[in-house]
Amino acid sequence: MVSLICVAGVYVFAGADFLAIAHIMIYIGGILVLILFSIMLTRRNENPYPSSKNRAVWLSISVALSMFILLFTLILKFNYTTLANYSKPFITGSTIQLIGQLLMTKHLIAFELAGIVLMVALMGASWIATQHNEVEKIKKHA
Amino acid sequence: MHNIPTQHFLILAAALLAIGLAMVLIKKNAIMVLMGIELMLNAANINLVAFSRNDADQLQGQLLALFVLVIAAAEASIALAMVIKIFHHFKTIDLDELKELKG
Repeated sequence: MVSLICVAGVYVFAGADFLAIAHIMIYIGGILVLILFSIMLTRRNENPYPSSKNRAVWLSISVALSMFILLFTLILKFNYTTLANYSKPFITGSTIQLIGQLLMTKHLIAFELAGIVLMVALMGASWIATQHNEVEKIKKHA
Repeated sequence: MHNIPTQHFLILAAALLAIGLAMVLIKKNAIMVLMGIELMLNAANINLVAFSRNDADQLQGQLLALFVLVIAAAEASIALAMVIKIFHHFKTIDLDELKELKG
């Protein structure tokens, strides 16, 4: 979980200050709380936690390691001067104003769609997690 | 600070992707598998942001990374709700024990 937060530091080094702050807010304020609550709600009393035994450890590690080696050699061999934007200057200063302008002009539809998707997903998540038989019980009592 | 070569970001992202893949494959706990998926999404985001440095007037990489962040949040909330529902139904979130389709 710490590594998910440290990604924000990498964003700062890449000159993406707005994205770093958004990342910290979403991951600490949202996803960390969600994961903590779901770990708390799915704990069993009889045996402490089911994550002690793992499966096919060496096979999985070798698959992941071979994929990393493949990507590493690809990255080292790639000729970066063929990129279209290679000679353009790097970002200097803050990007917040530009991101705001672009979200309100060029990427407006994607921005609105992202908002709708997020709203539908949160409504669906709360509907899925509701225990419907207990809701019926409460309704009968009322 | 702006002189870091792009290769270093790409290597970091590749390492993060490999760690996330290993987590998804190894862990039995469904929540840990979801955290592995989050790691892989973050690796993709680092790549997008690293290539966005060369694109100072359009910032397409950073905007796409922003939308990926939104989708990752939506995915995490839905998946954790499903994990809680599965736990209430099967009394376990061990992925190897969830074998029934029609419960």
